[in-house]
Amino acid sequence: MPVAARFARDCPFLLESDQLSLSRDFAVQKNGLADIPMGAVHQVRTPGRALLLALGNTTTYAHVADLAGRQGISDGQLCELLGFLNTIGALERRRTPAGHCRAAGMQCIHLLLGTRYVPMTWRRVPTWPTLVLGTLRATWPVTVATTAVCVLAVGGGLLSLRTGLSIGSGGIGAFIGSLFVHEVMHVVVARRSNTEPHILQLGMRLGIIHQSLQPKAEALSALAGPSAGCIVCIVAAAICSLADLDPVAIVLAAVACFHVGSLLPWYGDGASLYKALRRRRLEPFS
Amino acid sequence: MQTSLIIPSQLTNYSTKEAGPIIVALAFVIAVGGFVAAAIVLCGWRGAKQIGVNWTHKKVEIVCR
Repeated sequence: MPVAARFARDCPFLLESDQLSLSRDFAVQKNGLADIPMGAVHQVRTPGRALLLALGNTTTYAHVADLAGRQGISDGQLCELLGFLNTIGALERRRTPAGHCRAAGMQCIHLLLGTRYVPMTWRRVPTWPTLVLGTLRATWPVTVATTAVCVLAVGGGLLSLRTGLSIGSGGIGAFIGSLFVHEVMHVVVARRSNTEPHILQLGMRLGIIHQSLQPKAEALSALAGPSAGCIVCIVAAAICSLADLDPVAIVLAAVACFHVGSLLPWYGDGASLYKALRRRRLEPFS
Repeated sequence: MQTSLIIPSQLTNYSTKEAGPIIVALAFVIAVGGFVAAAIVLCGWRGAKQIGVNWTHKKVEIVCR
């Protein structure tokens, strides 16, 4: 099997001094890497297993790269392995404050040269605080952009301060709140199916991962999230409309459309829904 | 050709499903920001009064003070 380029793309930027380790949710086994909460075992070929064992005890990236060289692992294979660990939330990185400054400077230079790195994946057990934090972490670019546009519109004389504030705060609040409710519904459905879900956040990518569900539960999970997010926005839009805050109601209606859009069949919840419906058709007695 | 070191399990789907709405929301905000920036460029700072879309002529209309 050739090196999987999609995982190599998810390899984060690492300094030689970075301390790397495996998340406590993972264990290195004879036949590969076990994701204990998900009940999945990812097969890892022999030279890669030595790297996983090294990562099991906290070590530096310099040591991992040196070990990879001694095991005959190429840079591409190492990048693929670290990218895969980052994708599934198995890789943990600790960096000194000076290291953060150095890494930020180097990443800026690399960005100017056309190389962009993915951030570290954030994986947690869903609780109220972790769900809020995960949603805020994934949506901060939208918050910053909305604030900047509102400041520009108010400063440029297009909106009054009151309208700008209500559109900005209403839009951001409704978007983050509805996305939070969307995620909560996925967690509720997964827990009702006796599986323990986890939150996975990578840049602007946010999701709830869990063991494979029965087609009916999978379809319910895919429908519940977007429906709940959409209903929250429609109710909020109706309240704003009754309170003569029509610009805010229009923004809320747009946010409701974003949730409905996630049911399109090509990606995300829509893809899960149609996959579950296909499975249901193939296994009608399950 | 280099061989892959890993064979991911098919039991768990690690895809992050909520990227779609977040990216669409960011694109929407950036698009609105583009109209606001265009109004400021055309009418000057505090010069723009209103932005509207004329659907019949498929044009964005910016009204200056």
